[in-house]
Amino acid sequence: MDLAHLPRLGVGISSEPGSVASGGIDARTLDPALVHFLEYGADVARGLDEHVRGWAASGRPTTYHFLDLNLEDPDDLDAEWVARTRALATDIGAAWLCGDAGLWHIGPRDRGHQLLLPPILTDESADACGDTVLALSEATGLVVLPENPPGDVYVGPLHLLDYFARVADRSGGGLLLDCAHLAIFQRLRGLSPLTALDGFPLDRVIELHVAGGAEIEVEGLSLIDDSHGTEPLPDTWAIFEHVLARAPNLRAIVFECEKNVPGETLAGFARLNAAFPSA
Amino acid sequence: MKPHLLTQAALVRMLYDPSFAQSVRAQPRAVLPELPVALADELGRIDPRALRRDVHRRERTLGELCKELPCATTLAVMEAKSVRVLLDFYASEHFHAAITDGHALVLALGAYLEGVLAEGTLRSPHVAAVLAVELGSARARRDVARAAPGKLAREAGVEPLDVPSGTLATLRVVEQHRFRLALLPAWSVASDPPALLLPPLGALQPVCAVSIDGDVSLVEIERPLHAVLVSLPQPRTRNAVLDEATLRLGGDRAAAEAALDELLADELVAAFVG
Repeated sequence: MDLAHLPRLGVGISSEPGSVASGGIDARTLDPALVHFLEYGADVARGLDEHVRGWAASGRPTTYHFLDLNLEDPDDLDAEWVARTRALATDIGAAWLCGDAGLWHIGPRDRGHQLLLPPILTDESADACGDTVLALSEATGLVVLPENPPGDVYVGPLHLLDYFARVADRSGGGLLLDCAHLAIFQRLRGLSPLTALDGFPLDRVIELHVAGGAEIEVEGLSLIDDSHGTEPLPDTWAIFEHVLARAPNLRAIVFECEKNVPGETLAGFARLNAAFPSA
Repeated sequence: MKPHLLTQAALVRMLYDPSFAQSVRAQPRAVLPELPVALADELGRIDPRALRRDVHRRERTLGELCKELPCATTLAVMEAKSVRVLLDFYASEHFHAAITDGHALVLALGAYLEGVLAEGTLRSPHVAAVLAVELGSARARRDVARAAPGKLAREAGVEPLDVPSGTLATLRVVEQHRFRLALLPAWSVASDPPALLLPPLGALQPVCAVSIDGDVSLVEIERPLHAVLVSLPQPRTRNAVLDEATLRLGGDRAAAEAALDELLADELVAAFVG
């Protein structure tokens, strides 16, 4: 995968099919000095919506985030899905593909099968994930960035960062590090926010995600809800600041906040732009 | 299947079936012999509260599945007077096998309800009749093209059914009832919901579900056409199809041949060059 020639996209916002129609932020109304690109998360069943089509038609950059590929299962990468995903990404001129490397659907892509679980943190799973990333990249001609997913339960002996380091070794490609998801993992394992980052290939990090989270209790069990609010947790900011200073190939940062009131997102966008100024 | 995928399947079963999760906690290696012991033990150590974090997961998934079996599940709950009859799906062999084997959950839910009917927990002939149609339609939507040189095959999405007369009328009545309930959701907690009067059911009648791009049409068909279609559960030679269809039609081979020719002309059956 040719990572060196990837464009620097700056700071972007996330979006999903129908999010604007259901009251979410229309990225076209945000200050273009603060929001430079749109990351569109979709599955082939829902495809593109008018919001992302309009954004792309104006010539502004996009990335395509798939929500329907189980990266740790190479058999999930069927030719029809590849063709349809490539077409969607091409239609909006996506700079690359990305997506959580976990379980997006149980068995077939079918009604009622959707969910999101993190990968099983074993060497074998990481190798399978790396193989799928490489195969998808070769099949589409696009760079593919696997993302560390959120979860309430992580199973397997590896640390999440060691898992994705192995994925990158296997694929030879880049990574998308979600700072909020990593904060969730560290908290669940009782670790400090920066644990294991010293052994993580930060030079492979092409994209970062930042999002608000909420501390919740479930029957007395403390968990973090990946709420995508406008206030990232201090742990998330700590991870972000640490990685930003050590990721020489970083090209893009997404503030996942499209379901909020636009005015309440401005502080977050301002902070991200200050940390990662557009060229 | 690789151990990590087996582990994912086991975790999904734990998320949806609390009794299964409890069994895993009690005896992980015995309940999950297909897993490496370290992963089975780790699943057994999961805090059950974390599995219950998404409190609507079971209902949300079931709601999605019921969209394809709307009338059958409505009538099932009416008869059982409880949604428990649907939620118990998650504890059934049908659910666990679908997760482990990677099959469609809608079809598994339908098979589970067929089992509930067979064991007598549900007894309504209307549930059985409507389920046959809705499950047949679900199968038709998921049908894939079959091709075999020198043989005949049903076109993808063509599903012959044998249901009592009055079944399609029952479907319409239940759909209208569901529409009326949706107009005033507060009815769901009332003790005086609108009455649902179901039409009578009669003798078996041949019906065909035809799916085109996921949209299913239900049509009443003549008995000879049905006889030919049910004689094609998989690709077969013309003679084999006609032999079985002739038997089903009481020895009337001419009727079977005419029906087969009609189905070929209507492109409901395909003939592959040998």
